[in-house]
Amino acid sequence: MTKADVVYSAETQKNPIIGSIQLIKELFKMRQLFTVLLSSALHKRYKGSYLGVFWTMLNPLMTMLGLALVLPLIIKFRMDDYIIYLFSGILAWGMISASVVGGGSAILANQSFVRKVYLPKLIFPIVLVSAELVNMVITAVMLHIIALMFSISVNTDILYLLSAIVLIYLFGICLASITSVLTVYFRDMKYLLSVVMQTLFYLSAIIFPITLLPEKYKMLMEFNPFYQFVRLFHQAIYYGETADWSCFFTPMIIVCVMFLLVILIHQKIDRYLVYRL
Amino acid sequence: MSAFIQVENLSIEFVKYLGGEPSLKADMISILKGCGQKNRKIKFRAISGINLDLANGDRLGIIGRNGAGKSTLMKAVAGIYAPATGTVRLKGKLVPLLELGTGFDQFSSVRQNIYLNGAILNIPKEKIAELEPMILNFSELEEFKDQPLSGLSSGMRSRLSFSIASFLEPDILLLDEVFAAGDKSFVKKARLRMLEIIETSKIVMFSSHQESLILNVCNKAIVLEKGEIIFSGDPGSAINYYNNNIVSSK
Repeated sequence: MTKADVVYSAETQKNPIIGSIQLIKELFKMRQLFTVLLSSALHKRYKGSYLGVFWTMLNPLMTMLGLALVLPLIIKFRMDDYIIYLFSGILAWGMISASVVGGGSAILANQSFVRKVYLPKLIFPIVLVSAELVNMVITAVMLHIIALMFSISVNTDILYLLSAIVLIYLFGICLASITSVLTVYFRDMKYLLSVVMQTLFYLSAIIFPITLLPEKYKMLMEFNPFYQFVRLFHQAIYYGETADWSCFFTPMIIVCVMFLLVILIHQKIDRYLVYRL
Repeated sequence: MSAFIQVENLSIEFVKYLGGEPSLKADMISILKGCGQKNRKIKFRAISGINLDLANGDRLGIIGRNGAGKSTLMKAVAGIYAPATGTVRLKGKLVPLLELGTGFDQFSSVRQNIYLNGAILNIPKEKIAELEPMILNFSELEEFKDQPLSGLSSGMRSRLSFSIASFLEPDILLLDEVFAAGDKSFVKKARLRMLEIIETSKIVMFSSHQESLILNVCNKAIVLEKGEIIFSGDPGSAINYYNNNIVSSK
């Protein structure tokens, strides 16, 4: 008897390591779907026009502009090139918040595919975050161009920035994978997530420099994983040439641990998610 | 290359929530009230203890009342529903045509949806590019090819999904009869096309309420009742069994 291509069994998931390898293999097999989904996501976002790129950037741009105009008026701190600081933080935050909040609906929004054939559901948060990555890179480039036009000096460390982008991309995938599954089980999670993210925005040292905090709270910031990633972008863009590479240590550990966690969770429940849709 | 389907002791279990959609709020309330989550959830077996063995050339007709487990069985073979017990083994390229409107993205254009539909079935992109004009032609949707799917009528959508599947040259075809839907002229065309794909596929699982179709197309048939195979044999005697034991006893 010839060997089967596909086996669906009630027993395959007993061993988490075999399950994980299987999941990664299945994901790799779906790389064509990944490109098609990504290109359709980008197409929808930019609607095939150059103006489309501008529209999607309007959101971070306006947030930044509003904050940069109002905050110096009400808060008594002076900071050189505050707008650059703000921009680097918001760039990172855009990715994090889109992954957490957008990730929430990643699997639910693609139910139609899940009901058609067997697919590793992990592909949907990965596509979502990848589209966000494209947006992030475009935003970063555009904002540098704008800064040049207004002759604001930015001395970004390109290598540092690229490494930070890669790391935050992986972090985003982990976040989105977790929230996409949570939202399948608890449909009201998405409202909760956006409220939580709003609060965390103010706790992640995006609109104020961390040096402003009293010494004991500064220590607490180290335990905010989101701040760890925001800091990488501060280092890359705001501090530029004096960027401190040791800031990568904790974020890398966070990503590794979360990645393992995500794979372990998904190989266990991926197949059973369809029953909850 | 030979294709096969082997199903061993397959059961599918559904979880039903008594209190509507699962939500964090509802869980919090039930914890505060002091009653656990467990009594809100019930499990039931949609199909149980199914054994099937299909090889090249087999056309299996599935007969049964609504809710007997016909589509659940085919969805389990497609891998959509993970088994609660047992195993499904397959060899060959599988194309399912089970639930209307699945495998599509409402906001993408007709053309993009052709590519999406091909990609979820892992058909190479070049192959789909080659088939695209034929699919558009057969579904008579050429003039709508750059419109988003949400702008199409439901009849047009089912025409599209039928047309895509009909050109993918499956080894294993899972077919629910609802799929040959559309207006009168399309139904006629689709019927012929359906018989053609059934002819070229290596294995077909086919559920229908039309006895003549089952008799014409299939060489084997099973009767499902409450998720179990109660009869298995040639199509003629399966239909007799169904009519005598299930239809007339109600």
